[in-house]
Amino acid sequence: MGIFKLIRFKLAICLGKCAAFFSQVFGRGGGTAISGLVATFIEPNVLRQISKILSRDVIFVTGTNGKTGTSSLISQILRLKGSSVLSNSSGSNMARGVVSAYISSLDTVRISKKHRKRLSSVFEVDEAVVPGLSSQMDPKIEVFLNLSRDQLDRYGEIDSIASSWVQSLSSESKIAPDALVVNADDSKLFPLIDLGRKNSIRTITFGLGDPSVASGNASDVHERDFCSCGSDIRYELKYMGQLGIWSCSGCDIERPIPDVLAAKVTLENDRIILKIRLAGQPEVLDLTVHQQGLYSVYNVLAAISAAWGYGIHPADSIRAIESATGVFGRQEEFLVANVKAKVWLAKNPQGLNEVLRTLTETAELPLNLLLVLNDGIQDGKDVSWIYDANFEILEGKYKLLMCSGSRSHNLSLRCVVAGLDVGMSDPDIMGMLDFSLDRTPHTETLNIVTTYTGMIEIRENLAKRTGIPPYWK
Amino acid sequence: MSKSNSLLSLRVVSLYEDVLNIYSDRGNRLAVEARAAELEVSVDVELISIGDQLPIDADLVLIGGGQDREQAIVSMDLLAKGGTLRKWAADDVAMLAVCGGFQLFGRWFRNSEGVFLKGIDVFDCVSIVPASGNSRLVGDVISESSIDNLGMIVGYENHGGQTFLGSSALPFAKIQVGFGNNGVDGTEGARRNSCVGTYLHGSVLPNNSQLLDWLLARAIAHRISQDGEFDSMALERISEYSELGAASEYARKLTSTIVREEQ
Repeated sequence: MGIFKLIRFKLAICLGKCAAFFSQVFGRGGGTAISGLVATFIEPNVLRQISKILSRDVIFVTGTNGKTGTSSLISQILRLKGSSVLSNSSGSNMARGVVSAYISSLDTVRISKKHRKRLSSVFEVDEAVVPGLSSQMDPKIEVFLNLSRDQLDRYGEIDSIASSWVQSLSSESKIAPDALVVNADDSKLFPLIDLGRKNSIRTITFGLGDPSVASGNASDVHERDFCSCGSDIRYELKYMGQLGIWSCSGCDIERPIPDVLAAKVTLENDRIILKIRLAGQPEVLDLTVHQQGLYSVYNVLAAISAAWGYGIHPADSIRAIESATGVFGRQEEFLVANVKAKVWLAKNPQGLNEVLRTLTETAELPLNLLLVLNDGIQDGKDVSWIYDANFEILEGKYKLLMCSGSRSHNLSLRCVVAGLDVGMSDPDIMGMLDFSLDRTPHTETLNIVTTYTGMIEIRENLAKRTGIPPYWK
Repeated sequence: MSKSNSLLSLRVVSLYEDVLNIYSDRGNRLAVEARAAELEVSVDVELISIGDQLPIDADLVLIGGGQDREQAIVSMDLLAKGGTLRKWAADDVAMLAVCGGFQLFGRWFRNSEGVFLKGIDVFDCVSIVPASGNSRLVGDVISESSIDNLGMIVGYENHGGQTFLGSSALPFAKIQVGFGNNGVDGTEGARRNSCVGTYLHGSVLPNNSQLLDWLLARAIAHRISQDGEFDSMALERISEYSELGAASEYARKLTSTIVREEQ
């Protein structure tokens, strides 16, 4: 780096840091994106320069659902193996979020030459910015979780995202990753597996292999899937949404046998018990995860696979996963007076369906529910998607049902269409949170299911009340 | 003695719900079922997809929107059903075609790859994705329909194709906020007999219960015209208080207020 460039780089980082500081002191948010925004403004190449410092020791995690949970698990595995980990763990997953993560870590992770060797970076990356970001950072591992409909107003159609991933990986100017980690159960991701095989990139696939946790049709997103050849995708069985054991009815592709396979899955109301089988290895790994829901199983498999690609054997990942704590706002619990408040993030039909399925199948019934629908930029401006979520399965399974958020009126209408009785509906989230907590009987749980911005607001409030530090600390 | 309406059902056909549903237009079918339950009208819903035969008759037909690829996949199959659907439209069967479905109910559609998909000619309109490419029409919509005092219709649009009405076509509504058919001429959707084409998601029927009731009334009238046995009192119950209608009206007013404030 020339002296002028170096000064500009340092200036960009320094001013970014100031911006984050002022945002935290004067603003409501954690300043998780502002510092990156400022730094990128001063030095447009800041990301490339940061990635040089990180010397490619970078893991990308992308997909529609599970980015934050999976990234957090990978980070915890790496930490337990003695690495310092840089991550955008507060969920700001555009380019500026990555820059911000670097800037905010300067306090906690000393990025001196001496420490760089032990420094790994785990970044969750927004589906749409994967090509741009990976061409600048050339990550060592790229993890692809799943691809379903989310925020069509922002991303456009699903097919274009899938092909942008394939294009970015086959770009000649890009340094190929050491390993691709791909969900075998998602037919939309098969082109990535195919590409990995054809280009001799190590490709680690993961998936489920336990028919006892297959979904009935009821909780599926009601959609037929097509292969890139144009023919129908057939399913032997479906686990959730578009994930399952699939094959193409036209060409000869089918779901590959996963390298990391959950051979037995037992879902309980506060944990999941797993038996994991690895391709070509005789022993079975047993582990207990302190999370709920089948989607958490996919996150665990993805994290184990990513760590494997990074050189950590799955048997060595287990301890980190068993002791892993949840991530903020995802199944996070707070004790408020005598009521337990549990926050569930649901921001698209498949995510919401899985949360509703987990609640109705494993939580204590009847449920006390506060549903929150916001229409901020990060939530998606189009709230039509609620009609693709299966609210109908709540029938007869709740005793308290409240709606809130800037689009509470659309949400309560959705509940009426589903034949549910809404206790009360009001856009004021804090008011409805208090009211719902009051109405939840002592020693019971209020389950709060919310879109992203609602989650941030609710979590901040609950954390303040219960003395848990805010998410950006 | 009043006749039990449960003996006879309203016949609803939902087309390609498993293929054309990316914008969650299945909410329209859910709203029809919920409203019919309120009206104590029994409905017989047939989900018709690629390769399925249409039933011999229908009172209400629904079709939603999809991505380019899915639109191309259904278009061949839809052509095979086009003759029947055209005849039904002429015979006052109620229809709602949304977004990609609306485009295929027109004369033809030229998609983003420049491929021409032949439509089924229910509406006199053509749709084109402009060659310039990235100019999707996306956002909240408030429109005003002069048809039978339907009034304000709200929803969300997200389409690459732009639709232009032919000389014999009537628009469904006039745009107040948003783009509508093409962002130029202020029209939104199309209407012919009991058929409505629109770009609005939301889903459009639950969010606009007056349109839901309008379509249901026409569907019931069609059933009565086919089969005198059908409970004609259902047409009167449609104007009574409805929980769904109240929730819908409240949502519609609040949505329009939010959207206008954001302008």
